[in-house]
Amino acid sequence: MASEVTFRVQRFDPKTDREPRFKEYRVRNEPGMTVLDGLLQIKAETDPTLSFRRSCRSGICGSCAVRINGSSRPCCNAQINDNIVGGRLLVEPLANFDIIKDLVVNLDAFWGKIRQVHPWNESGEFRHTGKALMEVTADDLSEIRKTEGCIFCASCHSDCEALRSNRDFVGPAAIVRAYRFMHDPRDRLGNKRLDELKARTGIGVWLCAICGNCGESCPKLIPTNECIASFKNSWFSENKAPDGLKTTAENLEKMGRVYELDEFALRMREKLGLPPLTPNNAPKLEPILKKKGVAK
Amino acid sequence: MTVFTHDVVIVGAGLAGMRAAIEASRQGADVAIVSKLHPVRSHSVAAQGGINAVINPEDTIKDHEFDTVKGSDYLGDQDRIEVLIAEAPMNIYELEHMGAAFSMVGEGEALAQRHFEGRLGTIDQRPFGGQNFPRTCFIQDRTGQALLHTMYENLLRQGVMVYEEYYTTRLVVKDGVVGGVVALDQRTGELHLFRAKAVLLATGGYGRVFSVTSNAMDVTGDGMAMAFREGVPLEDMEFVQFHPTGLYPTGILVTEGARGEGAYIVNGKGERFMSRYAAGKMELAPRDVVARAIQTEIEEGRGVKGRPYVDLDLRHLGCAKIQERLPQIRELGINFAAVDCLTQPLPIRPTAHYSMGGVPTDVNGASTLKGLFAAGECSCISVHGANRLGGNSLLETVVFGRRAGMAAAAFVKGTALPEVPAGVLETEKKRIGALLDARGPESVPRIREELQTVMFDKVGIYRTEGPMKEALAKARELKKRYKDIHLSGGSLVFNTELIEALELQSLLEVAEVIALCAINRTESRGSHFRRDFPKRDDQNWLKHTLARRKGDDIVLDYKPVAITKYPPQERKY
Repeated sequence: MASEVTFRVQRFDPKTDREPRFKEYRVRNEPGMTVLDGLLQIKAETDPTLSFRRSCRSGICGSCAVRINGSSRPCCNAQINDNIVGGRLLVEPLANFDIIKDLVVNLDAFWGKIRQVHPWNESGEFRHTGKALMEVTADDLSEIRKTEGCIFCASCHSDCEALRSNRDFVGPAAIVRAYRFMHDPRDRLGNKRLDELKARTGIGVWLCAICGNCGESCPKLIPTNECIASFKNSWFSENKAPDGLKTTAENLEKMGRVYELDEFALRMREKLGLPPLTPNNAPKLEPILKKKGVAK
Repeated sequence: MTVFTHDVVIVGAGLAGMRAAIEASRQGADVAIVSKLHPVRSHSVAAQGGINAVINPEDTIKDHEFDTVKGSDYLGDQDRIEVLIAEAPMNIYELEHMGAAFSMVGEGEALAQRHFEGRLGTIDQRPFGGQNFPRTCFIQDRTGQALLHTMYENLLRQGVMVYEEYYTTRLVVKDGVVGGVVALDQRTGELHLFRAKAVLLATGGYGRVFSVTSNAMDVTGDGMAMAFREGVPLEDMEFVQFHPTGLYPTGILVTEGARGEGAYIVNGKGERFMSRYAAGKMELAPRDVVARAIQTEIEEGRGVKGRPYVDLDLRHLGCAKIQERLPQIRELGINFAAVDCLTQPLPIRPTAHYSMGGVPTDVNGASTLKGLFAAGECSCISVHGANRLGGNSLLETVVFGRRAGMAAAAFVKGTALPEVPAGVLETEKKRIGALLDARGPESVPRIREELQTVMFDKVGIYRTEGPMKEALAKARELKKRYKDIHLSGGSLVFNTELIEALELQSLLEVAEVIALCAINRTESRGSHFRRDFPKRDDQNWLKHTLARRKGDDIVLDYKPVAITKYPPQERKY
């Protein structure tokens, strides 16, 4: 039953290394073993200097996220056998963060962004007595349930393309947290939290390119994209989108395209043998835009 | 090496530590938390099932008190239990005001029917073991996670200073007064002195003393050990709760809420064997009773497929109920045992779960050492006695966390900053440095594993004098061998090898106390079951154990149990 597998692990010691390096370890692999079990075996038997974070080993504390073969996730619930590629398994620290040592990264920026969205119930109430329980609807609760399972493992940040281009981007986890409190009827902070996300044009919600990586890496299956899109949609309908996007929307409404086709583009199409385009696509798009609230 | 000064330093950032910090800060004290983990990684996160409180008009305070007293096998101090239960309801509403979104009556039905208009205004409660009323409030099956996050976010709101990933290496005590702690900043490897007028321990339990445990790898009894080293007694350390339903083989927790929702426990012969052990309560007998029943079935060869586990069967609950109320359990089964509980039973066996014992405190968290407070699992108030009821530990963290925070804030008013022993930081730096330079033949992981195995096998669910004495001798031998450990040295930056070596000191310290206290108590009570003394003996043992370090020796002493309303009776379920 037992077999061997090679763990290729990224190492970095700030005192001695200028660049991260890789080290390979043989791991005894028994059925049911997780990637964390493999790292623990390396640390206990082969190389005690390997540093990584871990705590609950049951998928709830969020400590142990790393990149396994390039994808980020907590490693305590990743089966080794599901992650072997060519007899090997690649383990690297989360991306988009500075490395402290080996697989341990500096998450200060991550926590800072969470703090930025005021992740608490700003009801103005902090009472120790009284039973004035605020009533909620099942609808409110379903929005809260959908998002409150986040374990702050930061996998979404690690796999985020927008963060890769700009580390100041607020990131999916904080947006999800904001979403959770925005849908809590007890909360009274309302727009202040929104302003925090919106005012920071360039690094706020709009920098997200909706690539979907965050949702794919989320171990708790939180619909991150849906949360991000809901903010974009609501601001758009309030005419609070960045200018560039407003122009795009106007173009869509006016001619059914994101930008105007000029003479050059039309000539190029002809040259490439592409079929001619209808000059105006707007009527076809109109029902969709109306349904989505982009067009009035 | 820096010296930081605060009014109150709280070691540990789980629910109790954070609740205490929020309260002390609200009372105007300058508070800082020093924690070896980021607060949201704390082990409170793993509590699944719920938190008890009398909030239904049909329930009564008296019933909750009695269930708790009976559950404790009459070892819980009844005056403190009265406080815990009286303050439970307001703490639930407070958590709710802080932002916790408890599961509500009608939530599941409303969602299933897509009937979203109705308003939900009543917190739902599920039945839990050893209680005569469904009084456990919950947030699906991740109550601890939701409450810990709520608490952390309120800590941010309150603006409390947190020194994250600082491992506290010792308490600083001079002339019988605690004056702070020394802690290692794991990120830089630097050692710092934290001076304070009050130190509050909220470091949790010691589950990692045992080889099979539901506890996180960081739950190593650090706070108890560091207090014990300074001469502070530890109370009732022989009482270790084994949770009946740890997932086989890892011991990861499967919530009591599963049984609360109606799951069956079944042996290899397909029998719901709890009928032989607690016919009145079946699967919902208290944890000690169910854990022993499962262990007996396994030891007598009635495990499933001849293996050391039995089955927890949820299939008859149906898909909708499992997905609404126990979604995490399903996920755990799939990820860690490759079993989908919708279609197959989960393999389970008892797992070391909770410490009823700890640093003895009064009802406001004050210990016997001046300036030292404790709250949560590391403390022993004692409200759990010989066996804790499920749903009472989350409750304890908020009720007594708040009280301890308030008491610490009151204590520091008008108190001068205590002196600390000269050169304490340098002494500690030398000690850590020597450890880092240790190049003996012994290995930290090997000593740890030997300790965990002997403790689980010989000071576990069933105990007998002979094996326990062997375990004690082994713990002492391992302590000697520890002096010859080997560390790799090198950089102090996030040196987890060093941290594990320090944690092993705590484990060794605590294990010795557990074994010694267990050997001495020649009766069976709650979680402490002696095969050689299978009966409860109120005549001689209706008393708390106090263990205290005197040089190389541990001295045992006893103190009476506070009994107010409920005289001891036979405990039957």
